[in-house]
Amino acid sequence: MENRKELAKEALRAMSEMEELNQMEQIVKDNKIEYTIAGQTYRVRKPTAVESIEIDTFRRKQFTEFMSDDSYMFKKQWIEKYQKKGIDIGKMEKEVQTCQYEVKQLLLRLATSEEPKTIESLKKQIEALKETMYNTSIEITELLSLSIETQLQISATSYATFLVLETNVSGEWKRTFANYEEFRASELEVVQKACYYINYLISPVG
Amino acid sequence: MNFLVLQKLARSNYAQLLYARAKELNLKFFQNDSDLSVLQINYLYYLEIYHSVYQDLYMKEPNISQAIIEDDLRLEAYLVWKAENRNKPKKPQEKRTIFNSDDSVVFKRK
Repeated sequence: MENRKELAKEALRAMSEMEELNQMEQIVKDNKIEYTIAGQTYRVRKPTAVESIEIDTFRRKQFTEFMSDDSYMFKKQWIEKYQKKGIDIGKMEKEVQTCQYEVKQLLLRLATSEEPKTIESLKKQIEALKETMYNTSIEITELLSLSIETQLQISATSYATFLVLETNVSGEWKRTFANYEEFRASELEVVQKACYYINYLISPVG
Repeated sequence: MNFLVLQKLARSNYAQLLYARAKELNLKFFQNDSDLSVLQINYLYYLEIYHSVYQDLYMKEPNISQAIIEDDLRLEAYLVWKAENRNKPKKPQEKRTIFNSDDSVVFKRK
């Protein structure tokens, strides 16, 4: 009985994995990510050429706006400000590079290791270093999140998401929000998911 | 949905077979021919990586095995090692003979 339950579990797991792979194959082919929330189907797709021009125009206008506002600063200016407050981003970046070098050396050792104990130990060391690297990188990103570069990237990607987020209405795909202001004001799950999925389709628009 | 699923898809026999045929016959892989998405660029990268490591495995290159291919960190280690040793002169190897499944064809490697 237990054995049959295990087999059924295994079959279910294999089926869900196959479903996941089939879904991914379809997305890779046509660049359209569909998802359902409360019985309503939505999708995000890759922007068309015309939409890409529209995104560029939006980005340019946004950049001009940021430039005329003195409270916005470039990354370089933020780094200088932080330096004066005793936060050395350059040093943090160097720490990441040192970690990268150490990871590489450990990877080279791992590649030629055959002893299971050595392999496990090296893997643990690499994972720990990668975590340190990741945490420091996140810290740097957060410190510079208000920079013009990052803000521009967030705004442009958000605008791109507004353009390509669509709802299935009786078999026809229609833009979910009538205008960008409505999209921006929304905190719905549909928008949060769309903002997540868009990163699989377009490179950061900065 | 995440890149791990994409990686798993690229590693599958089905995707690898399709990739090899697409390369040989110049088949269309995606609906779009240009302006690839982030997902498509990563997929092609994974396909090429797995294609090359499966070839290495078949050619019985050192430091690679099926278990390593299925272990992301060890595979990363192998790829770093391979890149590092790419330009180094290879040590002279023994002559190796590889038999296919029905033993009807013999490939000899000098």
